[in-house]
Amino acid sequence: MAKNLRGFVDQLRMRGGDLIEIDKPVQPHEFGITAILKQLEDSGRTPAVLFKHPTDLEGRPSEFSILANIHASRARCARMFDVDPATPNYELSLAYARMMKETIAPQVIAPSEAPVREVVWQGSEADVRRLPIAKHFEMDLGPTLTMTHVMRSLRGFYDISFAKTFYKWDPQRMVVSIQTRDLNRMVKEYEERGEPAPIINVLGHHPAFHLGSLAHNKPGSDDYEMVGSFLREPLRLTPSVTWGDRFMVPADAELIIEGEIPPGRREICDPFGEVPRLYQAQCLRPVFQVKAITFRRGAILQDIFAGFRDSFPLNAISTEASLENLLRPHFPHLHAIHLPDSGSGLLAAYIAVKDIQPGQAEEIGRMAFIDTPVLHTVVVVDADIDVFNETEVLWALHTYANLARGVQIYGGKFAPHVAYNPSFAPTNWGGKVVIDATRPSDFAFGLRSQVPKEAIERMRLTDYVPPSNHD
Amino acid sequence: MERIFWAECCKCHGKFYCSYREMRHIGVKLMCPFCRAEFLPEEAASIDDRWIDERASSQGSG
Repeated sequence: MAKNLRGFVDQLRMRGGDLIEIDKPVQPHEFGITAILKQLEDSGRTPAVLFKHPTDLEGRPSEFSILANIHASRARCARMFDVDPATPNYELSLAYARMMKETIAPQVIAPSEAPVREVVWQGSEADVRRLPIAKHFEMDLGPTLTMTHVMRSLRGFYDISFAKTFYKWDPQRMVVSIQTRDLNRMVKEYEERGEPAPIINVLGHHPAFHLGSLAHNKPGSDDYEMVGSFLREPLRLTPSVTWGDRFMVPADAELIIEGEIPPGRREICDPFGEVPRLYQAQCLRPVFQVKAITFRRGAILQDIFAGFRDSFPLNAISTEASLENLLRPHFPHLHAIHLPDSGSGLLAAYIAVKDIQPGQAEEIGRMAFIDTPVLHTVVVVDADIDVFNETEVLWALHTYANLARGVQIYGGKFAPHVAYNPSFAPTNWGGKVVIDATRPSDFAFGLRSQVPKEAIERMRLTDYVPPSNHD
Repeated sequence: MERIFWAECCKCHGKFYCSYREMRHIGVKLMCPFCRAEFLPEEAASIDDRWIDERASSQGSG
């Protein structure tokens, strides 16, 4: 059977402890989803959460459920790619980096075989008020869909990118906030021809589909081929309801909204609480005119809790992998990279390198900023510092860094690179910084205290401390 | 960094912010996210569009 979301949810369900299923009705458009997720996060818990009985936008019981928080743990993200969840840190990023270099051609199946075509709503039936759409944050403009969208370039390739689609108190007219370079180029291509641009919103698929779509690939490469690599099997496609085989859609999606962007029309969009935990400013964005809604029976609609743990590994894993592929050829002693939660998995990178040479920290930072312009801070540490342990990184910074000469601040130099991603622009102000927090090696310097490794192996904790006292 | 401005809704007095480039002086009505009132920036109960000096924020050692 092809990989799909409900299969992954079944795996979580069988393991137990990694999925909470909520039977009580919730009203997603009245913060019913995020109020629960926030309390779970505040209590240090990061399970995936399946809301089995949400209401639709009219307050009626919905025929769909909502799944959120699926990405909130790296161990669960590892399972999405069949990586050992016991090694969810840099091993996962390395696996992702390998998958970025491969493609698997998609497989086309007939609509009659496509699960996402089990039910088709068109015309007045295609009414978004029948969906359970979450309003996430206090200042949000309204209920918002947060998953991936797909467009097809006039040059033939497909792009999959996360974007937000806002409910605009209309059954078939929404507004889509596109932030990525490729999707914006595609909108422009169609506008220059004066034609409506086909676009779909994929509201539920195997999580490797969504997480894989974030891979930094070359402009012009086909994302349907790319996500096949992350699924470890061909992505199954089927002709869309609206455009037939001129626009193929993921056959194993839970729910798809097919729509068109009319050329030149812009409407009010945002605020929305974005990944860096700041609201995106109100602005004007393209209209998303709904043409059809297709879904599997009992479809699970996915949602992202942006700005909280659900969104951090999404960006962190894909960027760690991208930087691995970029830096490794230049710095063979590269040890590990991590984008911590404190930077929303987006704004800060901790990079560990073995036997670093003078000047290399600055070079690493410069390369990272060019590859990932949204980065604000790069801290370079030695390989014996665990970049996934922020306390260790900050210890190195406070102890090793020479703040008089080990800190490089860049002003507006890299600013043009951030312009294409305005949702993160409010965080990119005042320059960027690279901090060399490696132990000085060009003069006599102190040594970090260590308990001998041999002693730790000899004095096993379980032999001396009762199990009830272990964490 | 994208320049923004804060607007105070003339009806419910909720405060929210908007893109300066896209919304401040082009005659587009803002929409209050709290009560959905639509109004021009000039009709806002208050506006905060202070801005920093770009040159001061772009000095660095690199």
